[in-house]
Amino acid sequence: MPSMEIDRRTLLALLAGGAAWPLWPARLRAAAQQGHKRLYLSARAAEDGSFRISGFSETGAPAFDLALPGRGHSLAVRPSGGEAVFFARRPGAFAKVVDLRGGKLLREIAAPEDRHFYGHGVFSAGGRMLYAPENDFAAGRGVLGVYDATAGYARVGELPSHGAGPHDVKLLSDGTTLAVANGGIQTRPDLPRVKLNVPTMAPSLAYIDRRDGSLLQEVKLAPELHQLSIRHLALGAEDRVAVAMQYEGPKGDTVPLVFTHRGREQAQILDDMPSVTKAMDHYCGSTVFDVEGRVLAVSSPRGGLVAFWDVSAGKFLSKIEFPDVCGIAPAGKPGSFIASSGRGGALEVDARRGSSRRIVSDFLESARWDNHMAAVEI
Amino acid sequence: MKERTLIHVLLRQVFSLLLAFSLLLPAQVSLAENALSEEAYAEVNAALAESHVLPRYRNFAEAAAKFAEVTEDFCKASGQSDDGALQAGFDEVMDAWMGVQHLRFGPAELFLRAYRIAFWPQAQGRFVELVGDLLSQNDPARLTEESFGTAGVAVQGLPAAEVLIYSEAALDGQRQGEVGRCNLLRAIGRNLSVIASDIRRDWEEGAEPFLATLKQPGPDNPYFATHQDATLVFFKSLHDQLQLIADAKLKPVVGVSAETAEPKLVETPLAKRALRNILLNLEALQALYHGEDGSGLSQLVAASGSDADLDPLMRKAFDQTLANARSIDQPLAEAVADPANRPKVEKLLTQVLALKQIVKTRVAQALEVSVGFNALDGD
Repeated sequence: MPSMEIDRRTLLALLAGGAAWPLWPARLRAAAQQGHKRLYLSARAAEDGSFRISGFSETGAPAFDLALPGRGHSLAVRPSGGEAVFFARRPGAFAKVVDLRGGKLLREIAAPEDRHFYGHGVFSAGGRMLYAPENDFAAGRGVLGVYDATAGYARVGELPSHGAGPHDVKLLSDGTTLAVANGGIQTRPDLPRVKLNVPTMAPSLAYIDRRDGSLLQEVKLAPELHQLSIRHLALGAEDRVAVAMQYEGPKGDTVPLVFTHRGREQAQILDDMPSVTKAMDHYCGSTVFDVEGRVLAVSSPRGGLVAFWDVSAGKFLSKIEFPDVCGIAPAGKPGSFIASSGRGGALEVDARRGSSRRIVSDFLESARWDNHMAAVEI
Repeated sequence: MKERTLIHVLLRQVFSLLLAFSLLLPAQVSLAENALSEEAYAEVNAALAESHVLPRYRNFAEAAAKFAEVTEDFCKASGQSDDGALQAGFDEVMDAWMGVQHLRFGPAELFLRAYRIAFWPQAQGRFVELVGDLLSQNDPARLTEESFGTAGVAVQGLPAAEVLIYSEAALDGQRQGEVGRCNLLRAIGRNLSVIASDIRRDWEEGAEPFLATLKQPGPDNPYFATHQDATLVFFKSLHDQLQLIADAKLKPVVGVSAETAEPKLVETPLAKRALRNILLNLEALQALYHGEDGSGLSQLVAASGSDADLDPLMRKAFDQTLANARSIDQPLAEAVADPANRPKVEKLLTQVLALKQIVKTRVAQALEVSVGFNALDGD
């Protein structure tokens, strides 16, 4: 196991001079204005049962489609260079680096023997460092593997996630603060679908300094909500972090499933539409903000719906119904999204109107779309 | 990597078994919407609740009460009685638990009850350690009915009782004399009895028995909006228990070869009843599918009329799987390394995985329960 001391020194050396610069959303908007092509990225299962990763346009025209050795999950888009890293689904140990313009596989990253990926990751603002939540399963603790993209994605260190089962991760605009969703659930790779500590799980939203791994702030819900697994994150305007959760407690319980948090403020729970919270059936699959970072989308595959909130007002906007919907990404226009289904097909959604339109595309219909989708301008 | 190799081997085996069951031939599946009426779901739900769930939880409550008595008697006869009565009582309550282990919804999931009955899978060493700690503390205040119910879940139930009953093997050198052992066993027995009788009571008594919740879905019902929703929990009981048998009770134990088998990872390793547990689980799942009196999930599969081959296939799959399991004539921990029995254990794992696959695809489709690509898996 790498020693923390060496890791910190290595990291500090590597980071020296790499000034942080705000990535979002100004850059995406600027890119759109320059007439760049908008590409949607997602893992999927094909009709023959094989697992693949794909890029497609807003009309559903495929841009690339590459084979995976196992089921994929989510991905990290590299800020500069038209590159993305697609991660294996938990407890997978592979990640694929893809050239988005050429639609080609660049290389594979393997997790160390004693770690596995959770399926998510995020790049540093300059695009050099990749942070991937991983399971140190022998010790039962969560870590973030640190990979240097400029050195062939060599693993140069790791940071503690300050909780069990780290799942999603985002980088705030200061360029140094990582927001990490510690799901709280302990698993072992040999029992991947068995949750080992549901009675004692303690999830958290941890803010971590990526330079030394120190814990800057920890957000936890009330003790009676400790079975709410903090799983997926979205980053909005002014560094507002949205959290989509999954409940591991009794089915009849009424619990919130979404909150947002910013800076040192109190967490703001979004449960102003009880019928929608109930319909989500204790399970949020994916969450993302629109291009302006103001409208929040949360999908629930079990509920077969996507719910939208205006987070600046803290107000529910609308919902759309779509069986087994999970993947969701911001479309080019404010308030609009693309949502995909595990049964195949995708919708273009206007959250302000609560309306949707099925995208006519044989390619989109032929795939079973996996949990997460991302949008990128290339 | 070892893990990947194992998965590939298993996938190949499942594939060949699916071929054997003729599963890869195109199924005659019609896409007619809502072939099943709410009344059809309601009838099966009520039959399963009354003839499957209630008798089995009543049986578990009786066995747990009896186990509490056995531990009480053991304390009264301190030093005099042998461990045979304890082992018989443990076997009886374990048998009853294996008959309901798949029914973890409703009253069983309140107050962490199912976890407190048996917090498993967990490393066996953890139970030994926790039981050893409690014995060495020897603090009666921690063993009262009230305080023990809020102790760590791992020490409250059957795995801790197993360590104590088979203490000569488990607690080598840590055995703290019969008084400490009986006090802790008695606390576990009482606790199990309370949990089991609370589950039974919450199913059938009180202002809002769960039986009524299950039978009367609606917009204000916190659990079920429709009868179809309620059928989904029975479907999940079937699917998730097959998954637990394959992923936790067999796969880690079997390994890829006799050399990489991990016998110590079996369930109830000291009582040497891991195979019996699996058999009882499978019999309970077969009863859930066929119904104790003929009204089970199979009634809906037949009524859906969309997949005529499915019901005979399920019957055959259960029969063959159980027949194979019954033919293994050694404890699981020994069978995985035995030249004659190991192939049977490997086959059992493949059969359970194949059953799970049929349930997840064709049974789900016939029952019209929504089991999405993204909805069933907790990612």
